Amino acid sequence: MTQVDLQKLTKIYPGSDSPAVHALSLTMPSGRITALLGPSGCGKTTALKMIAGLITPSEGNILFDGDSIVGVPTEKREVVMAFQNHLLFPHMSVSQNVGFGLKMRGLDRHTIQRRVSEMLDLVRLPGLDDRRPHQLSGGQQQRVALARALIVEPRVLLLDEPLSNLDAHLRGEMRELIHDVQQQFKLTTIFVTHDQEEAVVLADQIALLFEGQLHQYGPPQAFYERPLNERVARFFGGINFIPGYKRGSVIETGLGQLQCYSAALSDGAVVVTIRPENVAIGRNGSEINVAHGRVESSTYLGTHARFKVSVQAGNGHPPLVLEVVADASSIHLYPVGQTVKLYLPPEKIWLVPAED
Amino acid sequence: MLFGQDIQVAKLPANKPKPQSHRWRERFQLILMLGPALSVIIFLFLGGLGLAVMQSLGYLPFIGQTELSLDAYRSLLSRGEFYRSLLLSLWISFVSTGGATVLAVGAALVLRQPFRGRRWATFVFQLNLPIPHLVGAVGILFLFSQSGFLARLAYLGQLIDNPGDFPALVFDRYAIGIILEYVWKSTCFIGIIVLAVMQSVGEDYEQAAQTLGANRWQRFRYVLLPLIMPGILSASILVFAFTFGAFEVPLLLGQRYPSALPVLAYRYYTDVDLNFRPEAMAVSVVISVLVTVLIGVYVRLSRRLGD
Ligand SMILES: Nc1ncnc2c1ncn2[C@@H]1O[C@H](COP(=O)(O)OP(=O)(O)OP(=O)(O)O)[C@@H](O)[C@H]1O
Ligand SMILES: [Mg+2]
Repeated sequence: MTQVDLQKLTKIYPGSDSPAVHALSLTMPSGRITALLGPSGCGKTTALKMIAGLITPSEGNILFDGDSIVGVPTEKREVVMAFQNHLLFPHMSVSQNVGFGLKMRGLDRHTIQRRVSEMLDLVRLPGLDDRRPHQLSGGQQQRVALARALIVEPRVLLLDEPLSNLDAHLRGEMRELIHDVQQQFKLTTIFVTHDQEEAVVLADQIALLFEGQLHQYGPPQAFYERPLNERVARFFGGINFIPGYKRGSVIETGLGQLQCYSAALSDGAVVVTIRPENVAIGRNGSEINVAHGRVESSTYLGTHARFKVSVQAGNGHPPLVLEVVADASSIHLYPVGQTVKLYLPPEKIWLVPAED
Repeated sequence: MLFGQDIQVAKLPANKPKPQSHRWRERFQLILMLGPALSVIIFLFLGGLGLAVMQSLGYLPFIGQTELSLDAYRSLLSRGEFYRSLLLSLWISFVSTGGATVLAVGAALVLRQPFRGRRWATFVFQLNLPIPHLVGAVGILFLFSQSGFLARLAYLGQLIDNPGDFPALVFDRYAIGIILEYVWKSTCFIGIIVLAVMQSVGEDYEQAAQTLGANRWQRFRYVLLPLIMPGILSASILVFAFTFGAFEVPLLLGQRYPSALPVLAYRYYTDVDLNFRPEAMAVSVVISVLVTVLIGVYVRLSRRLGD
């Protein structure tokens, strides 16, 4: 059980003028899974390697349970990193790979053998001891890499895109395995991903990075319900953004006046956002937060249906297009061209700062 | 052949099996393209070897001798000179290949790290590649012989009373001059190959090992070394085969007696008495066979060590 604190952690690669990671401050709770999330190139791997000690920070500090470990060499940090492309040693068998960390610690052969077979059972790979890595499937390789990391009982487990090289089916399986193992060992786990869905399913806390900077840190729901800015909301599938002007609990927009309960921002220019699944389409008794629009397109998605609805905006505003996700059966009720009523429930409306 | 294939071992296998007809076409194209070069090699190599074997068996039509016999081998194997030469050649090849390999791996380890002026260092390191062995041998003479540069320097510095007291490093019993020349030349050859292999392996495996708790030495011993072993092997085998079979450096820098095997062959070959010709060829055939056998053993051993 180890709490990891990053304090203004910064990395500027030599010869580069913009930092790959910029003043990153985070407290990652002990025994939990934290996801470092962000698009490609935002500095996730760099941050992870700094925690592992493979890259020296340009500035800032890293604390494990309050003690700085910046001066501790990688091999003594008790941090294991599983890499993006698993990096199993090609010249060793599966059991040699898994037992590697114990061999480096000078344990005797029998102990190593026993622990290796326990580990292979744990990751559900019994009986593959003598295979070479290239004789395994991608999913098996990933699990061997996990076993190799877990066997040394690290204080902190770092996983760099553990699921990205797997197909959808294996991904689910591996995700479950990571979850189970983490629950069982109560390991402080930090994993990197560019896939918000993965982060939401697996992580207790998500840190969202853009260009090396932290944009939001919190539990998964916060990113859907309370995104701090438009970019965060967009990254999590937010699509409807309506510029407006806030006065108390009323926002003046192209759709007319909208009521909202969100009090996070002070009066002035704001952007109203509402998730497509929170917009109600069709007959609805409400008098407030209602707009009328025309169905421009609809897509049937099996479990639900997606509509694009254009709304004539008043006061010379350009027309607005709202996306709405509704019940799959509603695809027949609202054909393209039909005029529909949209209801934006005040409690589902969220405000983010207007960007200029 | 060995060389080109083995160097890539560190990369992950990616080729999928291809349909049969496709493969045949590719193979045919390959043969066509390699044809000219291949025929020259086969002609020179197998032709030369065949001729050497024939002559070693006493087939010398130009002096009217066409009967085949093992006389040359018999007389060769009964001569003490042959065994002394054999030992000397083995000594030279093993020590110089071993020394050069160790130095080369060390140099490659240094040169692969980022530091200021690495480009220059690598360039300087490769400089002696195009210099012929003959020039290297002359350089060794100039530096290390008892009338050479170092001897004079030592004399001037009053480290020794007269230049003749300088330790015999050339024309000496232990073939130090020869070994120095070979090490000087081969270190850079092996080093460049090993450096390329190290760079293709990258540092990721070592980083993975490091997070698993491997210290510097363990990362080298259990991760890097086995991964670059195929490259080291290929390069040092080439050097071994060369040093075992080449005659110019031992001819220039070696004692007259015993002389290295290739020098022995050369002496027999250039002897005015043409009756020595079969023995010259017998020595050459022995060299070829020994090199082949030794390479086999060496490969086996090192593979096992690498695991
Ligand atoms: N060794 C390096 N030298 C210079 N710049 C680097 C180096 N490694 C990474 N960078 C740069 O730093 C930035 C962050 O890289 P990093 O690998 O941390 O991104 P990432 O978030 O892991 O991306 P991905 O999802 O593609 O793996 C990128 O702009 C990258 O080009
Ligand atoms: Mg990365």
